[in-house]
Amino acid sequence: MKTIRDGKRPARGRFAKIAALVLAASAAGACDSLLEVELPGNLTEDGLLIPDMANTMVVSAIADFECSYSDFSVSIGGLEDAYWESTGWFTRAWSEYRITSTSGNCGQSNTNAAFATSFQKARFQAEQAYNTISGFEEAVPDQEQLLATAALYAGLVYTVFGEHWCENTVDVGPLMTPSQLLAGGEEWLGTAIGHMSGDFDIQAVTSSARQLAHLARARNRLSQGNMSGAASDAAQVTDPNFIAWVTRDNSVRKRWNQVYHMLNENKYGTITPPVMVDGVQVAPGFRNLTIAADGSQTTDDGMPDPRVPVVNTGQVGQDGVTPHWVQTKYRDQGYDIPLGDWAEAQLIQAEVEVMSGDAASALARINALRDRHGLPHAQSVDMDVIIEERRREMFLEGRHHADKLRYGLWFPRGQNFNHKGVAYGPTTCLPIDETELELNPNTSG
Amino acid sequence: MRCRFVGFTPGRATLALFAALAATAVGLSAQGTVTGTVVDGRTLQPLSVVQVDIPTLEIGGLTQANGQFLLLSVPAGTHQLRATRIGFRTATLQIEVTAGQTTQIEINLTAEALALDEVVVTGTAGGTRQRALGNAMARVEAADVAEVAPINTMQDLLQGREAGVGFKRVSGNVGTGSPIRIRGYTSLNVGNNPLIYVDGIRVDNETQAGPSLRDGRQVSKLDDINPEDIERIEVIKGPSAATLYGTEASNGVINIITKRGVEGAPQFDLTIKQGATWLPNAREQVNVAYGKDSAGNIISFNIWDQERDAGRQFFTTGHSQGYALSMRGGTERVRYYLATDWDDQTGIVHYNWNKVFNTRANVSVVPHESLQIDMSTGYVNGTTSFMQQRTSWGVWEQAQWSTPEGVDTRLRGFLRARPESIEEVEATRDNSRFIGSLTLNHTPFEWLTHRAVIGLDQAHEENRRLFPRHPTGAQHDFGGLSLGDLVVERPYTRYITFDYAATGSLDVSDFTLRTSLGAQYYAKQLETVVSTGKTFPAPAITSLAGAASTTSTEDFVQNKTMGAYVQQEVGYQDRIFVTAAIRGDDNSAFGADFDAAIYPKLSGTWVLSEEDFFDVGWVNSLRLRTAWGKAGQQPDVFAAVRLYEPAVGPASQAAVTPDEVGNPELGPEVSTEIETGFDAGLFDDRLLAQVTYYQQDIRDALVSLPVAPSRGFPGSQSVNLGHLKNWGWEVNLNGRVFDSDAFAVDLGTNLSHNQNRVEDVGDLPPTNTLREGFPFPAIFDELAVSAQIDPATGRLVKSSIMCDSGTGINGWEQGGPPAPCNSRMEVFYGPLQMPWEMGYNLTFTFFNNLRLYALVEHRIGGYATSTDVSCKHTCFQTSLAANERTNPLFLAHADENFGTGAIYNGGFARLREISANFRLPESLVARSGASRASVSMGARNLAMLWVSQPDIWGEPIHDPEARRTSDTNTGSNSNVPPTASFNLTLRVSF
Repeated sequence: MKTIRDGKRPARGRFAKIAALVLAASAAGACDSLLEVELPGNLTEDGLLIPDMANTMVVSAIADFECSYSDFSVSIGGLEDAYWESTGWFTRAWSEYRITSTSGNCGQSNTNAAFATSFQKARFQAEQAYNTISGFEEAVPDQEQLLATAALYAGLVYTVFGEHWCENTVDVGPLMTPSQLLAGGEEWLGTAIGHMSGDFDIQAVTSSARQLAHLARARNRLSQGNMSGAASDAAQVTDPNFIAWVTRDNSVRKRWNQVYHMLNENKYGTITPPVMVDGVQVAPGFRNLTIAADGSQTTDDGMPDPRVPVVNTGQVGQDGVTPHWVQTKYRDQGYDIPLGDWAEAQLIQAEVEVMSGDAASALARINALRDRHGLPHAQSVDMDVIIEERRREMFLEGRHHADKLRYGLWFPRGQNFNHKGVAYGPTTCLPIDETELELNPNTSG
Repeated sequence: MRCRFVGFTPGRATLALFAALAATAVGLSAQGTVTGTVVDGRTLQPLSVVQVDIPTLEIGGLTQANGQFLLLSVPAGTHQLRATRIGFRTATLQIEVTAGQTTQIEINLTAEALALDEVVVTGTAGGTRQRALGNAMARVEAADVAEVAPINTMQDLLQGREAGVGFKRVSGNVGTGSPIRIRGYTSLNVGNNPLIYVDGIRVDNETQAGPSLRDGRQVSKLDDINPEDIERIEVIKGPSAATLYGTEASNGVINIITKRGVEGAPQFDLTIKQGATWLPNAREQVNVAYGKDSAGNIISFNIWDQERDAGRQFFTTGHSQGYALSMRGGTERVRYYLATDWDDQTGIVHYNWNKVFNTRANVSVVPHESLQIDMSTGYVNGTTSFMQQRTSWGVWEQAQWSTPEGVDTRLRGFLRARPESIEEVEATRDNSRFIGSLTLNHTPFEWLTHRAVIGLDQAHEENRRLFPRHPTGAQHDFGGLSLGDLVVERPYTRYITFDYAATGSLDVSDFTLRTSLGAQYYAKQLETVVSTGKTFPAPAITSLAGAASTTSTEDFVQNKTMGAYVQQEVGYQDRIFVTAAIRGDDNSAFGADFDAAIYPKLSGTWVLSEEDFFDVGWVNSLRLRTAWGKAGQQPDVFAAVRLYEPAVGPASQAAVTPDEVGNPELGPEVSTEIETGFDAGLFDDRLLAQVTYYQQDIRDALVSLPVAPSRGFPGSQSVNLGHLKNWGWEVNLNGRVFDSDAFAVDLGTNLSHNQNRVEDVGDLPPTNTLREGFPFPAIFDELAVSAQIDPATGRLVKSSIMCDSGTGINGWEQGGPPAPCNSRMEVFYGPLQMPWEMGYNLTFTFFNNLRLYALVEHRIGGYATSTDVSCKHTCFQTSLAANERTNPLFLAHADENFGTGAIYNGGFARLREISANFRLPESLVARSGASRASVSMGARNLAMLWVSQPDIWGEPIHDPEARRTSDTNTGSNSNVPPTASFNLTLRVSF
């Protein structure tokens, strides 16, 4: 059923010129209406940027962010060395270390870096929502919450850009360094917190928008090297049960958990005889991770670490060689992906404490986190322990790539080739989309 | 003109009987009766509406639909009988009338070479006489062609008959068609389909309809129209002629005029066709595949031989049949044409068939001498089952890419699926389409005629593609698809036309002034619902309701155009005509900031041969013509508007996501054309020569520019920034080169040469088909010029590969110095379209009864990529060269994928049609009560006479016509090559 008839294209009396030429002069007004067309499948800007659509504008920004983040989580896993891809297709895209996607169709394909454009869509929508709602002459219901949420997601995108990209830009502007991008994110997150006179929930995402905003700013400040600011924000995440999600839905293609889809669901059946196998397998660096009885972080020595749930199916990947390890953290394509939680806030605080020489406090936090999983206590803590705890705690959440950049880590095997022999680029931060460089006069120099 | 007395034939149906009775009644008064038939001397088709009279006696009448006439009460004696019809040379002959007797004669009229006074469709009320037309116009007399040539589709009817009118491809997949191109490619991005009108209304011109097959959608909706119902087709080729059609007309206009009733007794025409379709040289086309055994020795096999020997021949000969019955007749006030037709054609596999039912009812009513109402209705209902189902699952490519290494496996050497598995898959199109129009022609005064037309083209389709559940599930040939996979698309299209036009004439001394004006409104709508279902519980379950998971989407597109024109024609002494016109259009696809599109035109023509000073004996008629004009091409329907598409947010909340960035300044492409040429009737009008040169300048060409991602929108943006030039010339030569009572020879030739060049595409990065300074579409790729094989290892030394580094424009032309290859060394191979297109036809006529006819189509200069060969060389390495690996230059191309190892020059000459048509003796025909009967035996695509390049690195090219439907896609994508067909046709008129 056609439900939208908003898209009547304005014709603005253009027929007048023709009418002056011929017999239709008297019918000019009628002609304009004759050229109206229906757009039941789309919404025009005139139909979107109105007070009645304020909530939809903000939800739309969240939807784009979540779609992007789901793609991003699985794509970035290749650079995190979280898994191998037995077909060679997935990692081939990184061999030239280029992002050239302009489709922006996140949730459709996992290997074409569509998340780059899609994050820009999310940013654009969040900023547009904030600016539009701010400009309404009369307040809309829940205006402050909507403005806070729009600003929060704008800040989240800028933070992702700053944490992962070598450089990026917005609104066809000049190139921005990671520091500039992070500063932009911090500003938006500050704006979000400024609109939060109290806490509120974001439907299905989190019960505490305020704690998410503080966690995001803590993350942002940590990447900027503002350790005290990061700790201060992280300390605002007080609820041990706090968590925010990138919500997923198995019934909607664009809302699938792409990590599960690629690692567990995406079957290839083209070998003969047809055997349905996964193309992507968990890499050795995440197999059989354990905590030894003395609390040290080990592999295949001690208590299995439930934060990194993987199993060996005994099969091989599509190439007939790669062992078929699959993740079990996400159980289906509708499984939500953690966007941030109390544990991360604790790890940020622990990191700041280690850096400031307060290892005891940090150790207490680490062990408190381990208690949640019934794991043996660590005996000591340093940055290596913190980094490894973060790697395990946020397994397949799209976070470890930023840690690699921040800490200057290289790949676990100490080589810059993936297991198919394809070379990674000279750096591991994400390059700006080449299309942007070609089409943006402010970036092409 | 040639006339002959044929004597009285007793059994010549009712007219003769009536004539005899009349003769009896008047015999006592020394009067006789004259009756007979008028036929076209070249085609032998009966001619209706021929004025047959005896001027001295003022006795006369018109011929009926069967060409017969009757003159009563003719005084006995010798008289001069005259037969006149516009477009034909007047015939005069002496007759002897005997009192009380009936004199029967047959008159052969010879068509005028130029037919200067014939009226053609130009968009104005009342049409335009050809003598006043400043442009070349192609004209196909459909009934004449169908009488002699083996015609199954509209493409068959048009292909190879007119200069500048071509089809990109011919497919062996029964039920599919091809894009039609007039004067080549003039648009970079928004399609090159000409507009199609049926009886004055605009109809759906989509050439990529039907289910998505291996090469996408392959059905041309032009082929929905039944060739048997068509009287003639007029093709307006370029913007200078199509100005009055405005936006969307820059690719030309095809006007289809269906048959109409003729005053007279009912005439029934019955046509029965029986035929066959097969793949010529199937064994050679499948060809040998190579591989290696476990010891590394080269082995080969031809899977065609293997399967034939095992009794599993996978290509067969399909049967085709068709039955058509029509009735036409009427009175002075009411005339009608009623027809019905059933066609059933089977292709080279039993599950490729096309069953179509057509019916047509055309009625003309003349309630008053100043008013004529024409109703035209056509309905088609058909089902097509295709032989290619989805990517990689057609029997053609499974055989093409077979491998001897797989002979002992379950697949018997087929690539991924066996023919018996493929036939389980269904890919069908159900089509139900109605095209109807109502035209009111009113002439309130002698000087004024005006016309109103309303029309509707409405179609419901269902495209269905089903991989049924197989008992073994995913272990079957199609992997996961064998769990059950169904796609159902239901497109619903509707085109509405409102057209009003008026023409007023005024004679002032030697001048004739004709002023025309008109306004048109077109609305089209495409609504498509697509549903998918996956995983069925059992093989018997094949409906969406039975699928474990389903999806459904809906697409809706609407576009409206409104425009008006005014035209002034000034004629001087009926010999010199100057016409000026201007049209304005607005379209819902134009951007909000774009003003109306204005298209002017100016043309002139001079019938030089009618001037007193003209005295060239062998030139009977000569007309010079020239025209300048503009027409447009609209952007994609919603490309101007910034759009958001629906999405789903957290907790299933409604959301939207940026979809199209839009362009408020978006307008149409505007093509400006200048055309000049002449038409001449030579050597006693035996030879018609038409020569035309044209040059088109396409400005504001729509280019799809990628959107900078930081704008927050995906995809691309339509921008008016391209500039192309398109030019060429056309020659039509048709004539009777020998004529006698017993034997005649007709020769026809049409030649066209078309070139285009991209002048400017702004910031659009170069692609492998589009670059400034070169034709569009074209093929650019790396070209290795030398390479070496390491004698020690027998392997290609990659570092030794040297490429043509390019020269000329931007270093993209071939001929540069050798240099180590890199991806920027793509050079120009050639244009994708054929610059030279020729058609030659030859007809021998014996005793006015037997005609032998042949049509050869010849194309030169276009390049393509053979996907079949490419994958034999590279993907599957089943060619001899790929297994021998001894040719370093081949290895450089194949291993490095330069030109996918398979770019070739696709020129060819094909015997497109050959037939024998025999008009049965009247004495024999009359015994059955019929008035006329003929039998034809015809074949299509019987032989390839010449190819410019037979192989690529030793691997034969199957057929240069097996191309993709997309304009810019260079490959053949393993399309089924053209099949041959044979038709035996019986036509009887009662």
